[in-house]
Parts: sequence; structure tokens; C-alpha cells
Amino acid sequence: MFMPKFFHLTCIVVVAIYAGNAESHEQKTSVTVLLAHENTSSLQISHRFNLHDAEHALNELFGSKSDIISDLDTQRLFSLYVQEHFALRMTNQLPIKVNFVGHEVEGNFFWVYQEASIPPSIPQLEIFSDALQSVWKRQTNLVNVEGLGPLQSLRFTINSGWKTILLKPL
Amino acid sequence: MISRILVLTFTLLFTTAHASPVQQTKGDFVDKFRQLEEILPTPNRYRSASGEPGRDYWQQEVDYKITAVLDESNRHLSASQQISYTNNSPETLKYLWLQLEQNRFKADSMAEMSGDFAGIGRRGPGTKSNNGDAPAGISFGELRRQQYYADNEPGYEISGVRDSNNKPLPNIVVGAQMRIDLPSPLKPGQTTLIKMDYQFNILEEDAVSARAGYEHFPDDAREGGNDIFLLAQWFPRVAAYSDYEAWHNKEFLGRGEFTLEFGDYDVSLTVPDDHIVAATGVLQNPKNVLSKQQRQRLVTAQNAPRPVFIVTAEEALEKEKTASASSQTWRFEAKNVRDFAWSSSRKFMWDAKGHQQGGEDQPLVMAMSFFPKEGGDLWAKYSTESVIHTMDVYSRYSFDYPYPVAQSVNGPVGGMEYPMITFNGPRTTWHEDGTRTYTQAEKRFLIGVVIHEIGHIYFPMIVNSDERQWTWMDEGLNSFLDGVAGREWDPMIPWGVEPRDVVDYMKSTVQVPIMTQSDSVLRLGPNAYTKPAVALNILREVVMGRELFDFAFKEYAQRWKYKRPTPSDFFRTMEEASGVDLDWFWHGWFYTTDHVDISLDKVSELRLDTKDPDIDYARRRTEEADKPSSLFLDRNKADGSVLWIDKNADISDFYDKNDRFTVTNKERNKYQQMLADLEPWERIALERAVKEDKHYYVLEFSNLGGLVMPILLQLTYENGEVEDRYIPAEIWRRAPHQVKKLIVTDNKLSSVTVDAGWETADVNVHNNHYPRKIIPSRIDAYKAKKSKDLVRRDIMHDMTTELKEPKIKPNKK
Repeated sequence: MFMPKFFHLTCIVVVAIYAGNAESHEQKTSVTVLLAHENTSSLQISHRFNLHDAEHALNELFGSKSDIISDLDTQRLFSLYVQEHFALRMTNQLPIKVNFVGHEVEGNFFWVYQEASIPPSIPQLEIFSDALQSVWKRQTNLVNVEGLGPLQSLRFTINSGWKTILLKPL
Repeated sequence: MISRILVLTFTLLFTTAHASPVQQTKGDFVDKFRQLEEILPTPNRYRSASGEPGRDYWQQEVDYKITAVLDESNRHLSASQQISYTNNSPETLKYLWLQLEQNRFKADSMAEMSGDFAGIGRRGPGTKSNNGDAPAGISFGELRRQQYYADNEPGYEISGVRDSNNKPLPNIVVGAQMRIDLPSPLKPGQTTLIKMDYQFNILEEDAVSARAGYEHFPDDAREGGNDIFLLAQWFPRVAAYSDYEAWHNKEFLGRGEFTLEFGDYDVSLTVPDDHIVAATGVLQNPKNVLSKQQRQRLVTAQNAPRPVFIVTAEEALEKEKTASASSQTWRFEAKNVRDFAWSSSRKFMWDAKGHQQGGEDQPLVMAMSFFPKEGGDLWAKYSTESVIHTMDVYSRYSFDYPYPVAQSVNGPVGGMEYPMITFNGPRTTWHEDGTRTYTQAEKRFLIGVVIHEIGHIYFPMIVNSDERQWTWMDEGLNSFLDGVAGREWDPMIPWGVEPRDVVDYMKSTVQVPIMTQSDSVLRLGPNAYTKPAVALNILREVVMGRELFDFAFKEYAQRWKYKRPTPSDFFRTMEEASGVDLDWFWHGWFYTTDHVDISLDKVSELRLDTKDPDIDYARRRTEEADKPSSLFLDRNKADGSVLWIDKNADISDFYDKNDRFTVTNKERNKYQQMLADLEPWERIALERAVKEDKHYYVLEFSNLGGLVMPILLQLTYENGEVEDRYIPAEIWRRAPHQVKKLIVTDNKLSSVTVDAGWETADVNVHNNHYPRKIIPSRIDAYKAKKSKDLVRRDIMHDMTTELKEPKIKPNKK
């Protein structure tokens, strides 16, 4: 007769949902995230700039007396600048319209938000990002593309121009 | 039978999680906890296995005696220097290598010749190559830079390299370096004297971004304006010679900064006699260069509650109006410093306050700031106070500030550090009505940059790591500590770096490990400042705890004060002093580009069988009853279908009254026999477990990012209570991809969250919740917030606003 000499745990509830698939300084870097919602054609774009970078860049660019934290005009100006220095297009250089959503100061950062609609099955996306690169040679803009397959990153330096990511393996 | 299967299943969980640590070229096992000894240099008599300087640790000593003359109108510096080089190494040296950083700005330097048009390697203004439909271009800044080079000749002009007997020494200039052949081999313990003369045109910092140079102020009252001079990398400096690299003769390319030997400096600086000079070291002839009133003010400042002006705003403004034709010499001495920098201008206000830190080494430190009217109130209020705050905080984490002065100088450099003196850039803004104000961002920048640069006097000016080789050793450690100091200043200001700020960088696919030589790093800011600072923050707050971390960090600082540490000395000391095996942490954070993404995939609830059939069978009956009813049967019932057993109620038997969970004496006898066969301690354990009836859960985690980390659990119970639990990173030791954890609780769980406080730089918070939560994207959250904000607008009124042409305001520095 089987007689266990130890006690075991009996599973009574198995919730079987797997989700595994699922510088005090001018830093001279920015981060842009392109986030695609699964199964939609909507692309959310958030740009993050260090506050000091933004304010000093505006002074360099426009000779203005900028106050990025308190002055709404300064914020609008920088936001417009960021929007003008970011673009998307499809194959054959067909532009993708990027709509402005808003901007805000949070923590140490200035955020600019945009949205775009992309056709659901485009094979590639072309991206342009040169904000602040005419101000500082060292400016590097990191773009992460998420939600369109595995995360892909692009690093934009002053030499970059348009860069392409393939959305489906060839 | 059911029991046997379940037991088997449970055992399997542990057997599948076990793999051989040597099978690293087959299968998917990754040894995240492999010991770093295989990577770190072998300990020796100079650097011990504990991370301490070894018993025979040595370093060279280089003393300088320099006389320099500043030609203000020609922005030219000419100087003579005598170098006393003491060879403390066990090797015999036939030559010395010197760094000639001024030559980096010559047209034929390695930096200039290897400059990639529109590339990223160089500091300073930008160029842009043609690309697609956009034409090639250069910025105004680059145009200014090129015009500056066309009009000026940068670089050293060196002459008269000779020995102590004035006998010429053979030498060769190689780009921004120079080799001087010694008259006879310099044996261990010997000292040699070298003399030389040199001169160079001082660079315009705003044109070339040289970390030093002059800044011109054309709008000053004096005709032709005035300058501020910041002099750094301004003398031929003997390169470091170490036990691990011999000559550190990697040429200055513009990014990777510096490391030199410690030594004593005696420097005489001849400048226009209306200039104020701030320099590394202590002024030796105050009676010659300062008025009696200024000297009295300095004495008053020693014990003043707030900074005292040595040169007031009015006095500086008055001096700006004219220029003196005569000159005077300021003489400074500095003991045991690894470099010497200075600044000079008639524009300087000067304030000072004594920092009475006590202790035996340096009870009184004079904190001082030098700034023009363009620095204004921002500097008067916050610069010197920030200098003192920095020393106050940093000394607690390292050692007492060991030098007699700590200075902050405003000029064209955004932020740069040298022993006892720092250059910091923030300014006020001039308005048409003559007033000057500053923005909140500029105030944060000033306080932040002063803390950061004064902090650098500790790391690397005293804890003398090689900035050119390992930028993170000074920038990373210092960014971590400036975050500590900033948060002690005013936590409402967003200081330092939170783990959440670095996640986009860490998950990106374009990065190199922290352990990468400075000039080869792709993105220096996140790589050398932010990521290591976040790593140390996590080490302190999450992995080690403040007590262990702070002790070990201080031990590192004290062990390497006035010495030359390497990364391995830091890694080893932090482990050795804390008693925590951190090899997995150093390897993951510093040698790889892995990121943190721990997913909580599944939670299973388990219950202990009592073995008592009267209890367990009843539970099974309840579980069965709790299952959802059959849709088939529900619909039959809804259709009014009558069951056979109801239509034939007269036919029934034993099984209609006793279901499959009915307990018989057969089971009871088996249970009693099982109890009788138990050892006494087993019986006690069972009785207690049955009585307590705890809740058992198995949590299943995946390591999706590669970087192993502790798992910070937040358990929320059905009764509303919340409990935090900590699973050490070691759980991943033998199962780097997936792990399971059994937790036992008194109460029933309702949800589990991993890293609820965003403390580990986990890049994906969506998979940190169980059950999953809907987390709005940043933009969705903004829209929700914004929609409320918009309601507040008075659009009816605002619509009446007339369109106006923008006013063009005059601009003045």
C-alpha cells in the first residue's frame, strides 16, 4: 500500500493565463518612443528631452530668453521645434501625417506627444529625427520602436538623415 | 493515485530547474553568477584581491614649478616650467611621455584628422552631410569654429627642453603627446629634473569647446569689452605611469578626459593688475595682490554665516570700465594634487564662506565663488552655498575634504572639474530694463552643476581613476553621489537619476557595455553617467541596503584616496567590505547590455491536503460544487426538460444518496494507520499545519531582459492588507530564464505586483502585475489629464483675443 511519508500540495486553482508573450549637465540626448498599439494602426510618439537641454537649445536657436519650466510660450516654441524636427514616411518617400497631441513638463524632462496612423501592413517605416543637432554636434536622439514586432532602436546623430526599420522579416 | 501524480509533478518542477553550470556551450543555460575572477586582472603585490592597494603599491610623483604670463590683449600665454619627476615604480625609465592637450586643436592632430564630417566624435558645433533630399550643411557654430581656426594658430610652441644642467634633451612631439628622452635611465627611487618653455594662443571656448579658454564680453563699458580666462590643460603635463598600464599615453581626442600623477605645484601667474585670479591651491602672496580690505573680508568670511564678498558687485563693475596697463604676479602653492587649473578676469566678483568641517586633516575649508555680473544674484545666492553643501554630504560618504579651498568659477565652460577649482556655466538673463533674472531650470542647473563639479574634486581628483579609460568611474560614481546631495538639498526638485529614467536606453538595441573605453562609447551620457548612477542607486536601495553599501563605498573612497583605482578595485572592495557576492551584478550591469524585464507569468493557488478523508473529501465536494454549471444542463432546465430520475423517482439506490465524495471506513482506517505510522515529530507538524490551514501559492517568473535582479514582491490580500516581500537575485542562479517561488500566507491573495515602486529599472511594467492590469500609455494618460485641463479654459473670452505680431526684443549677453 502506498503510504506517503511527506505532505504535498494539491493544486486546486490554476489561473492559467500566460503573459510571457507579451547631468546636472546638458545631456545632449533625447529619447523618442514610437509605440504601436497591437492590432491597430495607431502609432503613439513621445519625445523626451532634458529640461536644461531644451532651455539652453532655445536660447542658442532663437536668441530668446527661455523659461522652459514656467513660461507657456517657451514650452510651445520648443514643442513646435521638436515637431518640425521629427518625421515619418513610408516606402517611396510617401509622408505619414504626424498629429500633435500635446506637451508637458514632468520631472527633469520636457515631453512632446504626437500620433500617427500607419497602414496595417506596411513593410517598413522611415524615420527622421534631428532635433538639437544643429545646436550641439554631440546631440544623439534615440528612437525606440515598440509594438511592431521585437523592439528596434535607431540612433540619430547629426549625420543620420532618414533611417529605415523593416517591420516584417524579408 | 492522484496523490502520487501530484507529488511527481511537484518534484519535477525542481528537477527541471536544475542544470549543470558547466554546460555553457550546450543548451540554453547561462551562468549569470559566474565569478568575476575570470575577467578581472589577477591580484598582485600592487593591487590585492580584496580591492585594496597591495603591500607594494606605488605611484609616481610629479612636482611642477611654473611661471606663466597672461598676455590679455593677444590672448596668449607664455610660460616656463620645471618638472621634478620621481620614479617610484620598480622599473627603470628611459623616457617620459607628456600630454600636450593644446595640440589636440591643431589641424594635424589625431582628433582633427580623424574627425568624421558630420560624425559624432567631436565636441562642439555641428556639421551635417547631404542625405537624400536634404543638402549638406554646417551650422553657424561650425562656421565660427572654422573661421576661428583660420584666424588663429592653436597648439603649443615648445622650446628649451633641457635637463637640470640646462643641457638640451632629445624629444619628439607625436600629435598631442610628447616623448622626452632622459639623459640617463631613471632608476627606481630616483628623481629627475626637466625644464622647458612653452606658449600658446588661448582658445575661444565658445568657438571650439575646449573645456577651457577665454570668453569675450563685447558689451562691457570698457571699449573693446573684457574677457574671462579659464586655463586648464594649459601646461605640458607628464602622463600617468601605472602598475597596470605603464605609460597612459593614449592621445587626447577631445572626449576621454584626464588622469595625471599627484604632486606639489608652485605656480606664479602674472596677469593684468586689475584681474582677480582663482586657482588650484593657496595664494602665497596676498599682501602683494589683495588690498587690506579684501584680506580683512577673507578673515571675516571664515566664520560668517553667509558668504562674504571679497570683491563686491559694485567693485567688479567699476573695474570692468577700464583696463590697467601694468601687471602683477599671483603665486599659488598646491600640495598633493593631480592637476592645476586657474582663471583670471577683471570682471570677477568674489565671495567666500568658511566651511568649518572640523576633523584633523582640514578643519577649515574656504568655499569661494568667482563670477561676473552675468552670473548675478543666481551665483551670489547659491554657488558658494552649493560648494559647502557638496562637501558636507560627500565627506559623509567618503572622507573629509582634504584641501584648504573649494572654488566655483563662472565662465564659458558648462561644467568642468579640477583640484580645488571648478568651472560652471549657468547665468542670469539680461532684460531691457537692465534687470537680470533666472529661470527655475537655470537655478536647478547651477545648484546641480556646482554639486556635480565640486563632487568631482573627490572623484576623480582625489580618488584618482583614469577618466580617459573608464569615464563611469568618476562620472557614474559622482552622478550617484550628486543625486544623494541634491535630494538632501530639496527633494521637490527632481534630482539625480531614477531607475525609470534609464529604461528606454537600457532596452534599446544601440548601446555598448558600461565597461567600454571612453572614446568608443556611443552615447556617453546614458552610458557613463546615468546607467552606472542608476546601478549604484539600485545596489544601495534594493540589493545591499544602505548600511552595507555606504560602509563599502566609504571604504573604497578611503582606500583609494590619493591613489589610482581601477574598476576591479572598486568591484572587489564593494564585495569584500560588504560581504555580499556582487559578481552577478557587476557582470550584468557593467559588462553586458542586458536590461531588466522580469515577468510574473502565472500564480497558482495550492492547498495542503490534511490526509483526513472527512476533511479532504468534503473539500473536494465543495470544489466540485463551486465549478460553473454546465451550459447544456442549464439550457435543458430552461427549456423545461424533466429529468429521467425525476420522472421515475420510485427507482433509486445507494448511489443516489451517497456521492463519490462519501467517506468510508476504508479511507478512515487508512488515515488512522497513516497517523499511527508517523514519527512523533511528523504527527506534530501535520497537526499544526492542518490547524493553521495556510494559503500556498506558486509564483512563476520569466527573466525576459537577461539581467538577473532581486524580485520585489508586493502582495495584496483580499482583506485589503498589503505586504512587501524580497526574493534575492540568487533565485536565478541555476535557472536564469524561468523560476518559481512558493509563498505561504495567512490570508488569501487578491493580487501580486513585481517592483511596484519602479526601483529596479524594469523596462516593462505591463507584465509585472498579476492579474494583469490595464496600464495606459504615456500619451493616453496625458490625454486623460489634458481633457480635464482644457475644461478650465475660458474659450469664450480667449476667442476675442486679437492676433499680434511678435515683438523683436534686443538681445544682450
